[in-house]
Amino acid sequence: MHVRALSLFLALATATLVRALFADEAFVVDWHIASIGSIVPSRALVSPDSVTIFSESSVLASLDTVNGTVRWRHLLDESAVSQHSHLIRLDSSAVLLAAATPADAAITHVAAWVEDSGYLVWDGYLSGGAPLGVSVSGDVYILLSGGKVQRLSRSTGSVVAEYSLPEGYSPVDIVASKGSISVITRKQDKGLGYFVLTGGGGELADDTYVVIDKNPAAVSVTKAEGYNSNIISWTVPGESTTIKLAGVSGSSAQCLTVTPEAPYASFTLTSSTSGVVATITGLDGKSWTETYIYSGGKLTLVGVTDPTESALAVSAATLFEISKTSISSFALTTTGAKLASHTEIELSPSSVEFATCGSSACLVGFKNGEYVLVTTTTGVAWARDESIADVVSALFVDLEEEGESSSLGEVLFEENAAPLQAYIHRVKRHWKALAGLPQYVIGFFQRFLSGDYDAVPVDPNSTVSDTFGFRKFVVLATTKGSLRALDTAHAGAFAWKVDDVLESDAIVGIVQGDAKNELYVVGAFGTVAYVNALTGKVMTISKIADFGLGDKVESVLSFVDDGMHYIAAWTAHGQLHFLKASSPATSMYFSKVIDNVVAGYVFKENRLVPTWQFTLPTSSYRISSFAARHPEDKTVSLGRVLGDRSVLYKYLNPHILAVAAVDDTTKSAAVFLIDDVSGRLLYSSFHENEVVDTAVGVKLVVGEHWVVYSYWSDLPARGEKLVVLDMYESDIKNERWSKGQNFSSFTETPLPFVQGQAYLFPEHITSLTVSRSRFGITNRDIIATLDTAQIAVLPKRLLDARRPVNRDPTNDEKEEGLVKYDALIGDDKRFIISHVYNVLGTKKAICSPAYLESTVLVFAYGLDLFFTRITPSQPFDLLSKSFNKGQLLLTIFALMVAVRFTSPMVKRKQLNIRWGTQK
Amino acid sequence: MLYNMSTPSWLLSYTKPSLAVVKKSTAVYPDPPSFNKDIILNTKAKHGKEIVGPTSEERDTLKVKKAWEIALAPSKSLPMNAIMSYFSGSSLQIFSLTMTFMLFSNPAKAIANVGPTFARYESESTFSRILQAKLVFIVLQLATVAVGLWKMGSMGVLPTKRSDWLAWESETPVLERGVFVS
Repeated sequence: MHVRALSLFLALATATLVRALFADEAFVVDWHIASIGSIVPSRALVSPDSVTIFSESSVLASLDTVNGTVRWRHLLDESAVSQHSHLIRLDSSAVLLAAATPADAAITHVAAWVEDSGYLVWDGYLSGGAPLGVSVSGDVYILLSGGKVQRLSRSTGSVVAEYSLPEGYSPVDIVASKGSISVITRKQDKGLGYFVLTGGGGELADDTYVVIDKNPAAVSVTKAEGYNSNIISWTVPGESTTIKLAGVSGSSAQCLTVTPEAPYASFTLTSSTSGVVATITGLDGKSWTETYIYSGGKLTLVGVTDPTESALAVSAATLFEISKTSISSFALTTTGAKLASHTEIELSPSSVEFATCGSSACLVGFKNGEYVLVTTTTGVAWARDESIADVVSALFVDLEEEGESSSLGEVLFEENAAPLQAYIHRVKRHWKALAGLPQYVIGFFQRFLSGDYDAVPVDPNSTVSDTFGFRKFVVLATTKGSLRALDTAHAGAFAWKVDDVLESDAIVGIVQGDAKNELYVVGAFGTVAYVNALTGKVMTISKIADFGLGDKVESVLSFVDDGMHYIAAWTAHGQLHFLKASSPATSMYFSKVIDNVVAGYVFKENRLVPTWQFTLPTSSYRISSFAARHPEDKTVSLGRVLGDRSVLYKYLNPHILAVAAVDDTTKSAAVFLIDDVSGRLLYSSFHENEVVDTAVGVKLVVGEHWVVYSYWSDLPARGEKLVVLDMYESDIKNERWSKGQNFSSFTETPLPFVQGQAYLFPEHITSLTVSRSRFGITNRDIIATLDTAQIAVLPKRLLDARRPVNRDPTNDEKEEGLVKYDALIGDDKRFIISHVYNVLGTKKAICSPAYLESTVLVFAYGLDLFFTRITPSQPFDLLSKSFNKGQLLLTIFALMVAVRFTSPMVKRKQLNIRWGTQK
Repeated sequence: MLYNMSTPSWLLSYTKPSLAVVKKSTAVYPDPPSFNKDIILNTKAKHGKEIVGPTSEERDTLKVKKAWEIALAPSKSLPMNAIMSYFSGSSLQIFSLTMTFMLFSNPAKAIANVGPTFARYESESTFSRILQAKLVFIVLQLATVAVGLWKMGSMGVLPTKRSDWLAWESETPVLERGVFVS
């Protein structure tokens, strides 16, 4: 054992501080899935060449209409709140996005983008509120929530003219057409009306005010900028059977009323060349269209389609009817009759949420977060699953080892059955297994010859792991209430999908059960589903018993105590519900961050009793983040060996909780290390007068005896500060007070000796994670997701608080592996494990060990998904691909031949010596 | 006819036990040429005085002297070993490893062979004096081993420091079980 440890130590000692990804491993071991986020129909422009979208994740993207790939995308710093952002077509080659900035909702960012390339044409900032309406007619007209209309030049974006609404009128929307610009407003005593603005060269003035509805209670005002005329529609509460609409082009209002055939739940209007087409959804969920022709100051109903359960969309005199299995397009004649052209397609089993149509194609959104582009000619052009852009929780699921699934039960049977029966069973089992022998032999030789364990690919449909455990499933729980399992060995292909796993309950968390293929999915309202993680099959679904009325599950816990595995749900009312088996018999301590307080509880006799509270030093501080050590993180060595072979003992308190707080007024940050059983403060560090970016807050990670955190600050040098705190039992070498004792958080044990160092990192870090290997022998890497759309790994050995400052390391320190302290970690591209991938918007990374001690699987999610595997101490337990197996075989063969010839010679010689005939 | 003329003599000697007895040679062979028996046998007569062999005391003294020489021989190589050990450094290389191995194996072999080494000089009368020499010999060999130990210590392969026993230290048992609800 000692020899193995020594060789391992040698292997680890040779690992360098900086490592890089090898070029032949890029695109082979890693994969990346680019997402755009949830699509809102009002911010999706479907054209024959592209689909341009400003998604709920603030991604402005253009998708190819042929294959659905992302042509370009930008993660913008803009608010994606529906009311405050508008995406419209500027002209045939550019789109315009107007959106409120998140930092200050009173400032609107307007930008014109080239549709084909994603290049910025122009942009500008407008003060005066969030955009309420945008309309293009020659120039760009924007109505801001402050009551201001801005006219921007279409080619340069510069403000050409301005207009402010008179006092008392609240802005609603703006409609610009060739002849006039109408600003729709609402006033308490005058009801709904619009100002008609005139004036071309620089000045805008209100000529006329037109009242369209005296009832000030008019609600849900929507506009339809159509092919012939611009109309607005609204409804009046209490008159739920009629739709009011008005053309707002002229200086006199034409108020019209449409009375649909039946009471409606919702409607959309589309203006046609001769009138209006209303798509109406009735109270029973069925939809139909009504075609009206405008003549003689009246709208006359000319045609009604049959009610259908399919979703309907109207575009350019074409009616699209989308059902679960088909899409049909109908030419709508002026009389509203349907001229059928029908395309059978296969759509997602989920129900349709919306359909946005261009002239020939429809973008259909489904409730489960999938989107499909259907064209009348080819059917489904492509499908995208954007639910994976909004992940609630993600975890790695281990797959079965080869042959495990079939043999485990059988082996158990053989152990327990009568000897004869067991023997017969075993013979039969071995006989059956013999059928797989030829395949095994072929596979063995393939692998042997190529030296590549990926040479025999794992069947994507199987649920069997590969030799080294690189293949796992990543199970994602999405905000849409669905589960997605991705296969890490097959570029993140979906292994299985389940929608509405909790039957309309929102998923709070997923945890693994006792067996690795058990998954507990817990919803906010106490729904618990038990899912097979390998197949996605929902085994049982139930409600938590005695779940309080109006209570909500806040987090899901999974912990092991005395060899028993417990799964529990923590609710907003401070209840703890055990989902599996019984509650623990011994008392247990729980702690939770509630608002700006860390609260401790003891669970005793099936009751949760509050014990302590940790409050922040001043009320201006708020808790921005917290972290505890991963319960499966392993400690191999209790101390740190110094250069003179003495030991600094690590402070291995398993109850360390790191809490970071920020103060928005003084722009400072603080980090507290608390014992989460007793609430005792172990260490605190304050960063004042540094102008910390408190909006982003502090990123934290806790390792075995250390804490690493980072924050962005402007002083003393602008950049991300990475701070490492190493905790030791004592600053005296070889001193271990905990020896021969039992560690209790309630005894006054000495505080840890904390050594700290701070480093400067040039990029914004969005999250920190620590790698976790199978046995914990491999060095630790710190995985940082960056806002430059990259993932970086920093060796923990680099972030070491013992690095000598302002002097070269002594021989002892060199032996310890320390290098001279350098504050700047630097922009070393070898730290970047995502290489050329543009991993946009990742918010978190998770790790899982492979079967090999050297290798850790890393998965990052947020918007994009990224997977790779890292080897923090080099792949010391894996033969390199360049290892010359042929030469080794040749040498062995040559030796065999040599032995074959020399052995008779030696034998003869020895015989002769025995007989004395030769000396 | 079992044995005819063609039967080789070796077959006869194996099959006929009576014939196998080889007769002791009684032949008197002449002295080799130019061997003068008189010179050898009558040296006294030739030189005129009797050659008197050393007395048993002298012989013992001589033996003890020789034994001490052997016993003190390792002390001569000791400084060289020490200097070589010092200069070969503390790194784990094949040269210094072989040398260190020799520093242990040679004394071990020498100590194991201490009997045969001194057997030539041993007699009943010199036993106690030879024993002293033997002891000094062993002590000096142990001194070589000590050089080897010092060498190993300088290479850091002797478990003398706290870190060498770190792997055998056990974790401190934790009494409370805490769970952080994230």
